[in-house]
Amino acid sequence: MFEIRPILSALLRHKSSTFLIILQIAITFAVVVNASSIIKQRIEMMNRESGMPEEHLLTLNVNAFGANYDLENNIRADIELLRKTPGVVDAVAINQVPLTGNGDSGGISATQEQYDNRESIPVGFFMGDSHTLNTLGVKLIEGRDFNEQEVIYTAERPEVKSSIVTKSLADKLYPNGDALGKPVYIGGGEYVTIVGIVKKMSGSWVHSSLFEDSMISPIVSLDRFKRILIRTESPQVTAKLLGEVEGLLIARNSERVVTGVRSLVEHRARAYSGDNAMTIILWSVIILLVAITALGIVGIVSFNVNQRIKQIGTRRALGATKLDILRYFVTENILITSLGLMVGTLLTIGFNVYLVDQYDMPSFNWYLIPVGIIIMLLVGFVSVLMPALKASKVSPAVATQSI
Amino acid sequence: MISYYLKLSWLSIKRTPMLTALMIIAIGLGIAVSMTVLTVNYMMDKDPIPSKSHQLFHVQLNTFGEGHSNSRTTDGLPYQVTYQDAMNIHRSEVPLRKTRSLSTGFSVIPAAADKPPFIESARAIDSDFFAMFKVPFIYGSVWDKSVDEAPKNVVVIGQALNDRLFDGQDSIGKQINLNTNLYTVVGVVGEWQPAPRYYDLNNGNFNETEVVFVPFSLLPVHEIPSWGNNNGWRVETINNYQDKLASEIMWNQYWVELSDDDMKHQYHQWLKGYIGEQKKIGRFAQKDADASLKNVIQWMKQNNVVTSDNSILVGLSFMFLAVCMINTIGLLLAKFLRRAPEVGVRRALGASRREIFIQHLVDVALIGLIGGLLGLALGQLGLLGVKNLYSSYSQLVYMDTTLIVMAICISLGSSVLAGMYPAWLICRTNPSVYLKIQ
Repeated sequence: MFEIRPILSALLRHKSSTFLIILQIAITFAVVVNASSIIKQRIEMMNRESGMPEEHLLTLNVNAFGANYDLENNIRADIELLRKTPGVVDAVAINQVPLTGNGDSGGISATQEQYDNRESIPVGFFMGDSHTLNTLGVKLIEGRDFNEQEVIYTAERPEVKSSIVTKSLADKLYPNGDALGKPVYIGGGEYVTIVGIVKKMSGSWVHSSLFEDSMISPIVSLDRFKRILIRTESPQVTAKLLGEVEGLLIARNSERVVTGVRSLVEHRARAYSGDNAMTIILWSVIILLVAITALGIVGIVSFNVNQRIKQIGTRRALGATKLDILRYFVTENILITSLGLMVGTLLTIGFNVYLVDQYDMPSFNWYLIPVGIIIMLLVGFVSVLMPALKASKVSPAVATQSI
Repeated sequence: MISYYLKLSWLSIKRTPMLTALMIIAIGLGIAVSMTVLTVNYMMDKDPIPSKSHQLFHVQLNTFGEGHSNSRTTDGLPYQVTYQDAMNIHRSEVPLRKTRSLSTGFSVIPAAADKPPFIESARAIDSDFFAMFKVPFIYGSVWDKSVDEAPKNVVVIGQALNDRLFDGQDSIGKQINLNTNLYTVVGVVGEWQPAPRYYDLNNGNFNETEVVFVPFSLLPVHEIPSWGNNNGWRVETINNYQDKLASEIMWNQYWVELSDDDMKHQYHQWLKGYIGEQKKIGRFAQKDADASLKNVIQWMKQNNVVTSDNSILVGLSFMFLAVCMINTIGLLLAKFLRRAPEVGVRRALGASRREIFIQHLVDVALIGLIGGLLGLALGQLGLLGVKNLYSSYSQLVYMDTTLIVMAICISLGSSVLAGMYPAWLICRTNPSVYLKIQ
């Protein structure tokens, strides 16, 4: 019915060009599936929920240079000034800001024994006053926030008693889900108590395994270099403050330089710029590659049709309908594409094993293969249609010419 | 002869415009994509200081306690050194040149009261730094070697800062105010932007070079802070700057220039001796604690200057080029076979197989050349796109002559390679078959 046998014998007469199309489709398939797998993984990473109202947040650095600069009072005065500024919801002097790629990290564990056995869990250490959670805009799901009395202002190593952790970290420390009120060993013989658990909060390093594992301590470290985080009422206020906040702070005390005034939206874009670029480049590669393969099929089939005009005419003269001719070329193409996709599947898996092995890429989802197969068959079908239609229009009269 | 071949090729291109256009587009896209990716990769991987990349060594010392290691590297060694080690190994007389190095920054306070202070990134180093990394001076020179031991408030500034503060005039002997301390300018350095910024791969591979250079010996004097990484591996109580200087925190870098393998060996032995001494006072607790000397190329590799994304893209782009070439072979087969009758006639008229073969390769080479030129043009568009996507690479991303020649060679080479089989097939044409039909 589908003329498989004549098609096969025709293909065998054109071994090299058939083989070339199969190879081309196989490599295209391997590239497309693996590239889509990388794209998918990057997009999932970029779409992770941050738990923070990023459009309402902006950050800046204060670099104090004055010889007799009073760190504690200046930090307090700056924060007070910012909190009073119209449109500002809250502000905090903080050691690190999510998504910025800068900050402090280390290891903690539930017990000293685990810590000494090098089973500590990597975490990002956040330090700020009792307004930290409110400024970050993160949601407290268990326990309490810090109160003003427990905040320590110091330039030295502070003795902290309480800390707030993210849910993700809490579950790693205490897998039974009962972390609240439990101790955490932070090294140096010191334990702190978990007083609160935050639902979700981004860390500073978007590509790090500790991205969602953060610990917040009620400390304002007195440093000449100080980061400040501001939460505003609306993106409009954020945009306005981006231009005005430097002047505001310098007007209060000019013995410092304000740098790095940026919104968290911008920080996010910077943090993921490499991944964003990778997805765009891979998309371009996929589209161009599929287009080239499709054009190649159009070219080869057109040539085959031209070569076989007389044969097609003869078949038509012997009673084959236009549909028969069309079906012949489409079936031929489906056959070749399928062979290519079979080889391609093996190639895809091989390529992926290599990527996983060499570059720690996650392995691809199996369903990308059937999806890819369907797409490639469609591409093959669409490309063969034009030359096949042309073939079906060959007049039976051709058979009688020039023989 | 070659002009006759070219004329025939031109005629054949004109006769099959559609197939030829398809081939040129395929080759053009293949070259464009692979050259775009390759340019980024090549520029990142390029030796930033070819004359000295094998004499400059980054020193790593394994000061980790038992059971600790740097999980981000293959050899587990720390990237940086402690202050005490930087100070101690600086006593070695073995290296030709040597420098301690720290990424830092200052508030620069202009003399005119109406000009606001601003921040500049800076580097605290020793006098050898400039000769080691071939930093060019436009005014003055480096501070005296004695300052490396006996600190003085002197500074070497970059051209950009000199322009900003002194309108680009010779500023030697003038003073600048950094964090309310006055420093005397002894030198102004000119255009100097190695990419990657190989002398500090721990703090931004493609960052701009600093414009303020101060003597490393000033660290304890002005309590100069680190603006780069600080890596600790054990809990230490750091209450002030003195505590940090005495700690096991790794926040300094150390580079040496060793003129040959002998000197390298000798220096390594010296470092081993140092480690042995330190073991006696309880440091370098790991049994096989050693030092590692990596030259510029090795150090770039260790720090993954070329990211895995880049390498994957290079692989993908070559698969892309392969598809384009396979595509071209298929189209060439079609094109050449169509011409079989004509070849039959030429063969019958006395053309040798060799001539037919060469004729067809000239055909392909012409197509490859046009495709390559198209690819170069499209590649520039691709690079513009990449520049937009990766702002930090903008200075890296351009095609130099080497790359342009490479693009043409790849397109010519791969298209001739692709044309071999079809050309071979066609030159075996039996003239009689076609003559009969005619």
